[in-house]
Amino acid sequence: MVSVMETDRDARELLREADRAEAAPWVDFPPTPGWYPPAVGAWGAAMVLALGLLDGPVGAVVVVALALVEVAFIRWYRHYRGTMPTGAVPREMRPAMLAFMAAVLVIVVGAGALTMTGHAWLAAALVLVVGTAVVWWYERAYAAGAARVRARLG
Amino acid sequence: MSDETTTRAPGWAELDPALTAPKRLAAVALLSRAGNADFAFVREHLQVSDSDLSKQMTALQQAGYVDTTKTGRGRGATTTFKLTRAGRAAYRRHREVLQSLLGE
Repeated sequence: MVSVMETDRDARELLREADRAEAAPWVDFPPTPGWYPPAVGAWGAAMVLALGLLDGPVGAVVVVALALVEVAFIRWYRHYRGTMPTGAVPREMRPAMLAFMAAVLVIVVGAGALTMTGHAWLAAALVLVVGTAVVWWYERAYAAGAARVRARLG
Repeated sequence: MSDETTTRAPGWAELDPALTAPKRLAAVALLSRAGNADFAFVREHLQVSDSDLSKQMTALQQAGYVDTTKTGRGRGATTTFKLTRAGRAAYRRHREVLQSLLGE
């Protein structure tokens, strides 16, 4: 029979390894390609123009095509990353994710308001520039949060 | 760390035998936070060989804890693992027993 201390140490070690493994889908990821932030900005700008300037079947086709591009990107990214994290976000990464979601909401509301007042080109330009900047910032904040998670879990 | 639970203090006997191996526990823990994961991703995290990972995942599959999907052929073939509902429940129970052993 092993000692209680050894039993405790083993249980603690197993839980620690389980914690590391749980975090892995969130924190183990390949570098995001440099083209990703401007591509997201360009995609958002194209969507604004499609929704704001195109009517009828042409508009619908372009919107569907852009949605399909997004689906294709998600499929590629899942393959590139090797997994897609789900469930509870590690606490070190939550502030960046919340800030990102808030920024996206502001961009969508702002672009929508500009488009509805007849300034679709201005909205698209803002989405391109601000969207690219936000995604660029988020990628760095996400990586920094992931590094903090890895440091905590050892 | 040994897979044996029979010589340990009471409480260890309540652990799921399919998850007492640290590598299998880590694999299930990883899959608990992923919709699914590719063979290479799991192998990199566990830092094991292809054959060792295959062995561990086969044991988990036989326990009904993991589903394995193979897509493509040749060099482009991909093996993907997904935790089953039974696997998720077993992992949760296993964690609870480990935590109770520590009085958490």
